[in-house]
Amino acid sequence: MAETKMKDVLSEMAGQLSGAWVIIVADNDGMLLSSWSSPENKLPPEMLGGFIQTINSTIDAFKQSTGGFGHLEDVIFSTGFSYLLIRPIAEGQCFMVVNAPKKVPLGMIRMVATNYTPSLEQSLPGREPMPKHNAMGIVVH
Amino acid sequence: MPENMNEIVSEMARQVNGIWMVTLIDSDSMVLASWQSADNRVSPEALGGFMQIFNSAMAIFKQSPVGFSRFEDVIFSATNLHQVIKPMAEGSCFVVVSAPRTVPLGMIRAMLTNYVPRLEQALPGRQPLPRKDGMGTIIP
Repeated sequence: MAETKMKDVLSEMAGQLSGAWVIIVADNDGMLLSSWSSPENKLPPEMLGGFIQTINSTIDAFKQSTGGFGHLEDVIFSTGFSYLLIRPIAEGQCFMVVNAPKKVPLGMIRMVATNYTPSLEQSLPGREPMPKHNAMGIVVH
Repeated sequence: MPENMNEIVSEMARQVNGIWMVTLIDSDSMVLASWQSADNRVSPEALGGFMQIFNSAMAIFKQSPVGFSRFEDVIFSATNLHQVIKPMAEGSCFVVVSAPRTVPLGMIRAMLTNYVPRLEQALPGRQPLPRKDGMGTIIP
């Protein structure tokens, strides 16, 4: 089941990010696909989904203003007490959102987000599994 | 006499090698001061348009129940570019730094953190920073 698989990936991500409050995957209309939240989390995951809808117009404007600089990798909001990372996945079809307190290093949040993006993309319903490579980098059928 | 904002902005740009653009704009996206390198590839017009949309999104955030009412900074990372936006003077202005991905993001953030107090003081009508002695006590 895609949903179970996505939840597993999110839980695994959270395991790598000790202290994170909430991780969600939402589509570009802000609808929630899956989420993980810690017992300390005070922000409903659905609300973060709504946040995506608000930020979407800004992301579109950024893409237009910086055309030719490649694709958007992530947007990070730093507040006095937390980091909020928003990363487009699956060619912008969905967004991964990570909310964590400032005690979690920002570099770790970005690295974990980068490393888990392929697994999350694969767990989207209807996505093809990633091709397996041998030691030489050749696709194995 | 407050410092010249353009001078501060160009001093900022000299602190970190490779920066393309440093711009100080108000909440209506009007440019207060700016510096651009010869290599800059982000047009100020496109930045102005982006900042207008960014500002309207910020206004919505401030009223939203998510509660991110006060941002320290916002970082947009594209494959070849970092764009860091830092609100200052209680959100009445923003400093925007554009740089290629080769410039360390931490350097940009540290530079912004260190220069924002000076930029705030250089805004017309702002009070000068209080002078402090070696123990951090304010000298009247």
